[in-house]
Amino acid sequence: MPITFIGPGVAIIESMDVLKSYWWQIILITVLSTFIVMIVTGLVSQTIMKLLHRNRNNTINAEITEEK
Amino acid sequence: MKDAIIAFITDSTFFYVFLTLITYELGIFLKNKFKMAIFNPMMISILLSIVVIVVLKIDISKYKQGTKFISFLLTPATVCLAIPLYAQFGGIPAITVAVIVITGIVGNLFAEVTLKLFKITDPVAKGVAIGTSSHALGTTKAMEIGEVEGAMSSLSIAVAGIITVILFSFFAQAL
Repeated sequence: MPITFIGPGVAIIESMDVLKSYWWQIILITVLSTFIVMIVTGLVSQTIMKLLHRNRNNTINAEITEEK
Repeated sequence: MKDAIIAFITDSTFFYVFLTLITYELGIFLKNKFKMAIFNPMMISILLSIVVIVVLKIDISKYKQGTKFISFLLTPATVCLAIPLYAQFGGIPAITVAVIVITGIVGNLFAEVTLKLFKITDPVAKGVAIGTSSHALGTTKAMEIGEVEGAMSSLSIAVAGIITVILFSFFAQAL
């Protein structure tokens, strides 16, 4: 899959004039937002997964108690 | 004579496919040899291809024409999501491409360390985090980490893409 990005990646040199003016702003914003999205999404997903596991365990425990 | 040979080679469509594949293979070789994340095959391929294009003074439109067969598979996924946004709100394609490449490389290089640093250990959470933030390039890293991570990452790309298109239209009109 990464190989499909090489063409568009190389084509960046075509638009160097536009990118030259804003290169550090683009890099800073992109890097920061990538990290923020990764961390926030990971933490939120992990919390949801923990809650789901806890609910599932509670349900199983309740069923076992009822059977007894 | 030298110019004629260069022109003969650079006029061939297969030269650009060959250039892309050989530089990518070189990137894979370097990554396997040095085992360092900085030797990202895609990044190495892009840099080496740019060097060749600049040194041989190749017209970039020829390169784009030659590599369209490789980029072909990328088009349906990106175009079906991006076209409605472009049509409605405009944008600078060069910046979009630059951001896509940077996001992917950052995710590919730093995803594992970042997730470890923030104690994100659940495989599903790891996959969702990588896929949402770093698209297909991050997914290659997620697949290296584990099967669940890779699957979740692939799924997250599609879901995040669709949600982005819907929410962006909404927020752009609201703000």
